[in-house]
Amino acid sequence: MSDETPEARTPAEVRLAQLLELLAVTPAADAEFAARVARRARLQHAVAAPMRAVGGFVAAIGHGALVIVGLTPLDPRR
Amino acid sequence: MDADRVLVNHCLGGDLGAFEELVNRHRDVVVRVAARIVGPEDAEDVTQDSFLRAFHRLQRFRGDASFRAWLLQITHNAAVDHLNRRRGEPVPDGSEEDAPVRELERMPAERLEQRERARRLEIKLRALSPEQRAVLVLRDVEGFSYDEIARITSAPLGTVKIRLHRARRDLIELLRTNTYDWELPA
Repeated sequence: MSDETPEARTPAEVRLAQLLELLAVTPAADAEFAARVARRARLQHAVAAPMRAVGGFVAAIGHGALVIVGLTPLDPRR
Repeated sequence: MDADRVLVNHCLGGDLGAFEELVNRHRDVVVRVAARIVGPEDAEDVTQDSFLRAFHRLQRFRGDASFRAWLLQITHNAAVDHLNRRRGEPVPDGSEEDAPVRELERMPAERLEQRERARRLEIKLRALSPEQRAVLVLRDVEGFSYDEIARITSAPLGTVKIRLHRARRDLIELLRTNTYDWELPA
């Protein structure tokens, strides 16, 4: 993956690199992993849009209520 | 256009099957990097979190870097967040290094030796800071270039090189002071 020139390494660093290769093993995953992540992504996506809409609606009502009782001007620039 | 970019476009068009394919293509590298930063026991949670974060940010993927590097940047951040949340919880003190592992007893001697060595190395690796672990794994295990590592860890190039140098030096020092024979030359 690297397009760089090989690094100069000490003998200890060369040995360390050999040892670290032992860690290039992928922990096993169940075959359903990708499908499970995709299902969660779909669910979160489905929930997020209505939640944003509800949040915006509640904020608008709150702002309206403050305007009615006179705590906030209709146009915040005034 | 590369295959990942095509899948991202399909995904943005609402094709969840394309996202599943992206997960399948990159799951291995994500789980390896996550495992080295947070430990193997939490790697799957961080992997899942990383893919979900990526899914919700797909529109922000500009394609100026590889999808893999972009995804690993998210993985790195998810792993660091996970460690920050976990801070305060008890940290393994290394005593598990000598704990017997029953399943290993049934393996051929050579494989058993390798597994045991990897397990001990994993424990030693945890003595490094998360930043050092990340650069060491990305460079020496996954083979990423310095530029890619800088992008993934959101750190300047010079910082990446210094962290890598110190990570190697510190890990070698840790292994040298260990009674286990790592066959490290002087």
